[in-house]
Amino acid sequence: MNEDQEARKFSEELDALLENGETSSKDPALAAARRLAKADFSAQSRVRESLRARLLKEGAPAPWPPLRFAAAAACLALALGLGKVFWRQVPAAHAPLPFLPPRMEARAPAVPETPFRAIPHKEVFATAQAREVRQDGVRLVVWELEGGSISLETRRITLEDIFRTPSL
Amino acid sequence: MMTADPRNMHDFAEVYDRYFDRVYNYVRYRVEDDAAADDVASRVFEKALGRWETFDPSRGEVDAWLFAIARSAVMDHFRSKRWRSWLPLDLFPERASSEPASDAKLAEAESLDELSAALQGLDDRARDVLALKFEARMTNRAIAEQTGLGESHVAVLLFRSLKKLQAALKDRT
Repeated sequence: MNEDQEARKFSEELDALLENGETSSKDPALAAARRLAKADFSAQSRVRESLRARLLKEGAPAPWPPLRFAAAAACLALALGLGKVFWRQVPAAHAPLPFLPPRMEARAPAVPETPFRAIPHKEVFATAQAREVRQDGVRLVVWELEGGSISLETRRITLEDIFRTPSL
Repeated sequence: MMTADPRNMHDFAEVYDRYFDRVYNYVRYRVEDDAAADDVASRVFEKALGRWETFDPSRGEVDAWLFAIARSAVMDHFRSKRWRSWLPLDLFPERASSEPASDAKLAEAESLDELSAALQGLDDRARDVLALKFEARMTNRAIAEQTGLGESHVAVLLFRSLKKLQAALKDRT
């Protein structure tokens, strides 16, 4: 029997083991398979419950959706109303400002040409969700990106930490 | 196999409860330690939640969908590992139980450590195939489709990997 045939036969026995929980085969490699099939690493997880709670909270629909829309409509109405009030008070763009001294005339921006160009067919901006890690007064906010991680860390420090002069 | 309605968060909770252990185990076969497994498993379910509304049950089973996400998350983990190596991965809000472990629990933990060390002795492709077989419960054909290997190659890989694993476990005892 060559290795291919042996492997095929072994696979059939392995499938029977996984299906029925046992097999009559005495192949020693199936001893490792039995052990793997029974092994459960998941009891060692430290995040199972907290992750579940967090995900369900994140995925839950916002309560009172009609109220949410009403609040958004009210904000919009308020913004429009305030905009109208201020619109009347702002002088026309082409009129010179009375208090503007002559030296403070508007100048062209230092970099007038567009320094950023749109990259065709590529998304330039993306959002990434961060997760927060805390322990012993240290707070990390970690963003997992495709090419690596970015983290911001906050911790209590003293003036000595800032002005410490290292010496040899 | 279960049917899940992607518009229903209750169904997502059910998917989480049903598959967390298997997804965690799948990830644990592949990564180096429990902290990394927690990290990757978290990202698997975060991604699954983010894509939950777009999951289409008519295109496949929820477990196949979930393990495809898990496999991709493990690959992301390896890609970003060198960048993340300085992060304190053991800083998790939830701690392991502080209750004293019984002899049986200690023996089980020791046995899992031994198994984990033996798994780490295999190359990543072998661990991937074993994880897909034992935790995703895929057929050799499904593994072949997922990994791009031939079906007979998958059978040979399983055969060789389990022989190697058995030898490694024997050496440790």
